[in-house]
Amino acid sequence: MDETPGIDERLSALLDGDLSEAEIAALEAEFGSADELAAERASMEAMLGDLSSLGGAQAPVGLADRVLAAVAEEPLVAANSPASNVVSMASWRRIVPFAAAALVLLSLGVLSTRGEPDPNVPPALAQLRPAADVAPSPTGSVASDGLADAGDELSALRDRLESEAAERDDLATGRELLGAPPTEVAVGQVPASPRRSRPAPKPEPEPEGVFVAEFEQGSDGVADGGDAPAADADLGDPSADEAEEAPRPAARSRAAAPAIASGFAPEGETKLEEVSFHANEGAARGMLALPDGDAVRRLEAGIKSRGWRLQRSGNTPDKAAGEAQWLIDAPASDADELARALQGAGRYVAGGPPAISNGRARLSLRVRWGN
Amino acid sequence: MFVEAKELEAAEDSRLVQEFLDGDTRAFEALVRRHQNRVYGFSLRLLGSPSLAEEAAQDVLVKVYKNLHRFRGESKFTTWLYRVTLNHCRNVQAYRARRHEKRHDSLDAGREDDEGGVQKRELPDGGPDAEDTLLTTERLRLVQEELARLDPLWREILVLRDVEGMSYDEIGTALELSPGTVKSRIHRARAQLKGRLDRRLRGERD
Repeated sequence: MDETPGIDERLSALLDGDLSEAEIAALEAEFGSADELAAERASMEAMLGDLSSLGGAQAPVGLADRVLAAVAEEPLVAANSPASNVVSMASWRRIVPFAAAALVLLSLGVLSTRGEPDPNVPPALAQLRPAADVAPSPTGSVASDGLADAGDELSALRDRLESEAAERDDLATGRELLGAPPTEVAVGQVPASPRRSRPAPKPEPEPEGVFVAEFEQGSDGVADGGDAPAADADLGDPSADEAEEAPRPAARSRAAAPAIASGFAPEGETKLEEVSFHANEGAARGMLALPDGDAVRRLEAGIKSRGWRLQRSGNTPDKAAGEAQWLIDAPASDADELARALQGAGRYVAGGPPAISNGRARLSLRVRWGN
Repeated sequence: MFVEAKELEAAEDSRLVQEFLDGDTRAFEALVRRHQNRVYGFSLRLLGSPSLAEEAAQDVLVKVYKNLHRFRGESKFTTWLYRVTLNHCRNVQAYRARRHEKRHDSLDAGREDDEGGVQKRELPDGGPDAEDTLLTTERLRLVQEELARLDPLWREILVLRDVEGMSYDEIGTALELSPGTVKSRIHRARAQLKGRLDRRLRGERD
């Protein structure tokens, strides 16, 4: 940074371990007392804990089904597939009206962006501007209102086309930079999406080049090897795939928790661990109230002694009272033991059993102590 | 650290992508079910509206279907997915800005389900103490509101890092930024949000 960052920026850097000893000392000096620094630090940590807990939003019911229904009519185009160069007549029939509309709208767009009225533009066309650009008519005639409405609709369509063109340009530029050859893409049918509401119908954007751009950097491409699956391939019975992700009921017994190993040296730092795991995703949720920081330390030690993984943000146990967000990841076979350990450690309120996925049990836990 | 878990997840994604490219469309279904929450949640934090996020998530996943053959596995699938979602949400925001539209959905509001009923948004973790839970809920509401008001430049990187839990490297790849820029932007973004929250707690408004 060229200039000295603000205190909050440096606090953030401190939490991420990005400050040198000298910078930490300077920060402490700026606060005047260690207590003030600790208070601000705790405030920042609490905010990060809150942000972390915003993760794990659940997609609306039926989203996946709507996506699958939408793509069911889409032909799948694999890279290097002969089909990738095919544009069917049906596709052309869909494209032509949009292309014609785009030409008209682009013409109107050019006209509407000029500051001065073009004398060659018929007055009726001149009114087909975005409503915001048109001065309100003092007379407010029905005819001009109608034209303004039409202009608004056309403006919306034009905006959408421009937006999609910008996206294509953006991604095409990326592709160019990476030297990837341009790829023709078959234009599929507009999916008959069962979406519940949509502001305006839109032509499906041509996904030209797009997302590959930033990531196609070598020849070891997935796209090199695949044949395109049949366009009408069965999307299948979801149950088989879902089975893997279905949470497994865990024992909720109140059996005494196994003795938790002691001796875990409190780290004493408040540095947030590198978050390299998609926090909360697929994890069950729960809340755990512990009496004090020592209980937190003991539980941490117990978790680590079992080889379970613990990721945390928020306060550290050296605070007399605090709050933290934990993400615990354990082998699925340990799910019951994990639940028992939590029940034995304090007041554990489970939002559900640890979610089992890919052989792992994951639990997102809000931990509080000293309150 | 959850490096192993993350590697396992990435390996599973790669396998599903390859199976899909080999013709098994059920692999796509598995990818959708696996990542729909991620796409929806990220869209929700960027767009600030459940209905817009739902629409965006559907569009993004359809785009993924159409373009998965272009993904070569040079980055992780999830990084690519975040990038696709980010680009789409940016376009939605730009489009809406040009249209001067504002959506007033509350993040706390219930969401209409398929049958027309309203799904009550879940509170954060239930707690042993109702008052405590209420305070937590209120604080989270403030954070959500101020996050939604942040400039997109700060909001995007903050969501990627502190909500989605991405590493500096992943964020750098997704946003095409150097690691140093990622770090400094994250720190500045956090400072921006904290400043807003502090002002709110002191009863000040912008």
